[in-house]
Amino acid sequence: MSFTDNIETIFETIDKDNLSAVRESALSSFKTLGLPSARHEEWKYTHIKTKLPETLRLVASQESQVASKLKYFNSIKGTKLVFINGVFSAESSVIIDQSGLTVGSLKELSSQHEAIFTKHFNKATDISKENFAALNTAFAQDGAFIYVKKNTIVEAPVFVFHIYDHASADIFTQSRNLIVVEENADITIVEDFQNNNGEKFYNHVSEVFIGQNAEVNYSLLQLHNQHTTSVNYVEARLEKDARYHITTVTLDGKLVRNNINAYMDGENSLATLNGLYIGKEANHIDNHILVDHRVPNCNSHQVYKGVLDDQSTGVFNGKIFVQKDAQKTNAYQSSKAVLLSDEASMNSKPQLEIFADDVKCSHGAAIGQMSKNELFYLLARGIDKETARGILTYAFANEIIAAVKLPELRTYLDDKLKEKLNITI
Amino acid sequence: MSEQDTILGEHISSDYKYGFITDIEQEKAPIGLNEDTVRYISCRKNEPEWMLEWRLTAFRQWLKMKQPEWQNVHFPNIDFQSIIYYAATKKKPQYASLDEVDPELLAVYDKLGLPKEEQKLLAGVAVDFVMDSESVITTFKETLKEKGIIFCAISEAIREYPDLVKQYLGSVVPPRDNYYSALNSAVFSDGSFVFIPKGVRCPMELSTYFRINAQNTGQFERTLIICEDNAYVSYLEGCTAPMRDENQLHAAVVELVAMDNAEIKYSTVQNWYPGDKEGKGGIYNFVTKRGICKGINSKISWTQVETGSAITWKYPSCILKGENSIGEFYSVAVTNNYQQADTGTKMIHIGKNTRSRIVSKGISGGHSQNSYRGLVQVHKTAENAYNFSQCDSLLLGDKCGAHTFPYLEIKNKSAQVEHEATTSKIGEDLLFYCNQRGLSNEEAVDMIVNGYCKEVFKQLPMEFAVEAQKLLSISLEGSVG
Repeated sequence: MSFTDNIETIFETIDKDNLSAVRESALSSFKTLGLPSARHEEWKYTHIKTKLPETLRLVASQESQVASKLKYFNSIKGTKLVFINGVFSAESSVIIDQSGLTVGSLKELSSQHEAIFTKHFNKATDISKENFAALNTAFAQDGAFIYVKKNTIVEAPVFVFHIYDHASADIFTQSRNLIVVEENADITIVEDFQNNNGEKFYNHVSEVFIGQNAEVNYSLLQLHNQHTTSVNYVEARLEKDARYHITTVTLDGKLVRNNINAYMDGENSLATLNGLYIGKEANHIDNHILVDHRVPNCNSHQVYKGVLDDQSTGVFNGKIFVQKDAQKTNAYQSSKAVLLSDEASMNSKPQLEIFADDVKCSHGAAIGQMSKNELFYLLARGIDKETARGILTYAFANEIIAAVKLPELRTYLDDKLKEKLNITI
Repeated sequence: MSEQDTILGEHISSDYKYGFITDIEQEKAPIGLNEDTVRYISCRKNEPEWMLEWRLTAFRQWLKMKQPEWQNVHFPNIDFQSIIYYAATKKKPQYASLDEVDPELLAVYDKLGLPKEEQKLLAGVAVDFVMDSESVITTFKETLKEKGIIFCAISEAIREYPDLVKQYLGSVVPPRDNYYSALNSAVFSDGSFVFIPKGVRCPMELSTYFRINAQNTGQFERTLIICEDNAYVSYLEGCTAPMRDENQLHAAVVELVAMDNAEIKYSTVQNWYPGDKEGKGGIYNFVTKRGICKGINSKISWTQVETGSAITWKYPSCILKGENSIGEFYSVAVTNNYQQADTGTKMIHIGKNTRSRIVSKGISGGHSQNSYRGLVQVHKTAENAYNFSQCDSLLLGDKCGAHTFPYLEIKNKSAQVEHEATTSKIGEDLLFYCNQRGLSNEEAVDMIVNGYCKEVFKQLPMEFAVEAQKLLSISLEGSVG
């Protein structure tokens, strides 16, 4: 039995808003697609079907005190949006006003900014192909709405906290962000998922629209995630001269699937996609990256690094598409993973699909262990083996963290990384 | 350079050089496929009962299977009931010298550019010539026999050496492995059988020229090469086929077995008819090639130059089971006009200290699609496995596509796996440099592309390397802007 069996009954119970037409088509698309089996090429290494709850329960009771349990929350400055079990909590959130910036709950703000909402909602995802994006579109009720008007430089970073705190182990939260950044605007967004206790499931979709010459710095943190099974989509569309930098940091997770997709719609746009993942115990971390070069003169740069210990599994699938007209594309992709244990495994599929001739595309993938020479060098200087390994692993992983632009976040992640790797330097 | 010019000019002016049909009387199986066809083939070949059973099991298996659809190629559905599964030249000539051979057949040799008498002088190549599924002539058999080497048609091996065939046939590529291997197992007509006994180093390059000749005849070749302990063999396979409008199916199976310290080198130059400039006609080449390094320190090396066929779909693979065994794959795949190629390799590391190396060079021009698809799998048992893969694609036009689908599946921490891929066009600075020195664009491209493929060509035996270079020039004809 799977939750797809009673999906229609559940659909009847959700709030009927002005989206019902979109929701219905998403539902019918999900019914056609179903849940991906192991034979599905994109889910070859991630067998999610049996890992999901048997029924689809969406709503969890909300406790107002949970926000105080949020890690990292108090120590940082900026706009903080808090979602508890997928529902916006106004009392826990802190919003720093700035003209030209609208932030808050998607559910509340969508009617106030209807024109923006209808223009962009569900325009970056492909619900006819993506199983979980379709499911999300059919059922998602709330999430962050961030709208930056043109020429606005957002001064304080915007933090979006998702905290999962309910006691029941069968709630499958569906949440949805809509981020619209107009021309010449600039914003830094940090999204943090935290699971406080026990088994949790969530399916989260973010749509990001980056206008002409605008810049978005996006960080996606999955640090406190131990018993979480999650599917994440970040779908970004870039217009002319747009700049987009996204970093995902996954330090934990029972089963994590990230779909990070960037569509280069405008010429001369730039996307950098970085990621770090550290798997321990039975963690399963799957990063699916897609960069679609649709127009000429765009640049993209991907660097993904992973450390896998114990029985953990890593999956990397990086796709670069260069469409027919996308001449003068410059695309780079690198995936590196280190296996620390005999039970750990890594599946890597770096993929290039090129239909234009005047391009420069390259990718490299490496899977291995720490260099013996480097290890020997440290040992020769009197450092014990374990510490030396820790130092090397840290040095390997730190490349991604060091590229994070927001200084406070960088320090925080650096500490987290050291904690995770058990090193004190 | 001037010599190269002549060669190039010669080939550019020609269409498909090897496109001709020879009229030789043939014996054919009725069109279509059912158990009776399988029985007919088995009977025609005077096969023992066990072989027929083996074929029938494979056929029943095939009936249950579905055509694979995951490849990155597109073609109309194949009607397996409209194919003739067996055609044999009517008279089986058994001549001592070439002079007695049917003159028409000799004409075929001439058109192929096969050096008749020169063969004996040239590099000592023994040729087992397969004219439409039937071995016609075998030379140098005596020399080989002295060494205890068996090099014969597989149908002969089934009759003469049933124990060897029984032991190894289907041991590397089981009939149920995939749709086309099941089909091949049921209806294979002929192919080569090579057995190198313990400690023997095969003194010459063994080669077979395959040729599809009868209209509407699918070619289902079966090759089995066994190298016992400390033995070595180098095997060459090359193909040409007549030009025609109807698509032809070729589904071969090649199995290699290397025991302790044995080495097998398998080289292919494939230039089957790729279809005309509109993409009409051409051969479908769906081949399963796989070798197993069974013994310690064994080595299997695949080298392929793929320039022909409308659709190429093949993954010569190595199962590295023996400790310290080595697998290699060198490939040049050229696609032009409307050709589609989905080719690559699989390296399965099972034994300790196994090493593999993949060098793949894809060149696409015209409206063609060229894909590299490879799998590197390191099992838990494969301590210290090492793999290096390099997949480069060169694009010669703005209407073609180059694709890379590498799969890396690693389950051992001591493994070291590296994959590199690049896609680009020929640098304008390179062209400019050549132009400055008085080379035309076409000459420059030819030179640059040959240099780009050198790493693979140098793996080929000498005569093959020359042929490969010529082929490359013919295949790229018209793709230079």
